Amino acid sequence: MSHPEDLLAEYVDGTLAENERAVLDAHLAGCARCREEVEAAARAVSALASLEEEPVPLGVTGPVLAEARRSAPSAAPRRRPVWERYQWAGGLAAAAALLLLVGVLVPQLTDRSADDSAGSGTTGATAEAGAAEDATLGAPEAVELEVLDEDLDDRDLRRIARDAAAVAPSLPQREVSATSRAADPAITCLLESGMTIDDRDVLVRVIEASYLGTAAYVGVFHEGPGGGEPADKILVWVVSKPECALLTALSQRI
Amino acid sequence: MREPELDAELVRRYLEGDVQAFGTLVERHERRVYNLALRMTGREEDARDATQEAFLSALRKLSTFRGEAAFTTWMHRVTVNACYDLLRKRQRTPLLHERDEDDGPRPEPASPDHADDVDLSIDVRTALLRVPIDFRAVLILCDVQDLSYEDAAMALGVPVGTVKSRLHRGRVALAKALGPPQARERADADGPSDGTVM
Repeated sequence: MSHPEDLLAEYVDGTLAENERAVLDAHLAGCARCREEVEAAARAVSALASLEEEPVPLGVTGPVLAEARRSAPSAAPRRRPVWERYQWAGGLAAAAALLLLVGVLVPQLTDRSADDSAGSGTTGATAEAGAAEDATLGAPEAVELEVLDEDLDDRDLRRIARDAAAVAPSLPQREVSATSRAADPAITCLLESGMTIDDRDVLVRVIEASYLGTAAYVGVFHEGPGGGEPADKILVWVVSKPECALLTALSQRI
Repeated sequence: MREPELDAELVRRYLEGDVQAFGTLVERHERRVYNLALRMTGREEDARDATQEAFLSALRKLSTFRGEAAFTTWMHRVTVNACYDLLRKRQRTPLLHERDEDDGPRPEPASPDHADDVDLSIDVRTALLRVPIDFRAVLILCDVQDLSYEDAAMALGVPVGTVKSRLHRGRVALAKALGPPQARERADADGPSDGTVM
């Protein structure tokens, strides 16, 4: 018999019917080449089984979900080509991966985010208590919810990032708390979208507006490399309101 | 386990205007799609692009999804096509996992206590990229994502017999790329696939 290539995969997988297997065993007994191939194939199967599944970086599907909202069958007509936005957003996925961090944002929210906040022992703490604990980091600053009656697009988000970069702190971390009640739902929504924040991040703006026709909250953060170094990046994170699904994210170096 | 009918139901709901239904579909399938793209392209950056393109393409074609195949299989097909398109466009050999420094801390591997396994899997990833793409696609679908020959055939649009012969030839090619058996003994003793079922 010629080399039974079409049966060898199933032989290695053990899915051959018994009669076929018997025929192949007889062939293998007299064919060194096929024996070697079977051994090699079995090694390959083991090697492939060792490949670990990797987590999906944050932000990869954000633009897809935004497009799904925009082009939903009952939605309003599209305002501009998908590619314009997609290509831009694709480059930003790396930025979103930065947010694979675990930490604490605003003290009064720690009870909500306790599950995510590895470093926090302040579950249920008040804003005042949280601020006092972090007194070494400087006085808390309030972030007020800004309500913009605008439909933002990616150009607007880049402008927001640039503006934030222009006022980036030269000093290391400040602790920021949302003293405005109105900002609470927005920050909660940002956290619910899967965003986690640690002490390298400083929330500088929370905006309520719409993004490509979808009601949204926008969080703007300064992010530093940690270790008391000054912030070197701006992150802009956009989530839908009230579903709190990530719509898009971008990062810009300062 | 997911009932396939449920995916079809989500497709129907999206087509009726329920945006959240598509979000659920994405959530369910993104891990498989991303990992398929990652193994096909070998680069995180390309895997991101291919994943986005696959879902956007699925979104555009959703009204053509008739439910003869499981949505998973259909999504595999869309993803494989997105990878082919991307690799064709780039016209270059995929490189292994380039990470920008900006990417921040790498997520922990699924079993951080098996440092040896991590080393091994880097070798496997490199070797996989040396396997010609048609064979690589079959290896990933059948041996990494555990699709049946039939589902892989549907995902690739080729006959089942072609899947079986590509699978064997791909395995042999991978073993060759991995190097001589004595250097790979640990691979044989290696542990379980970390179930790619979502």
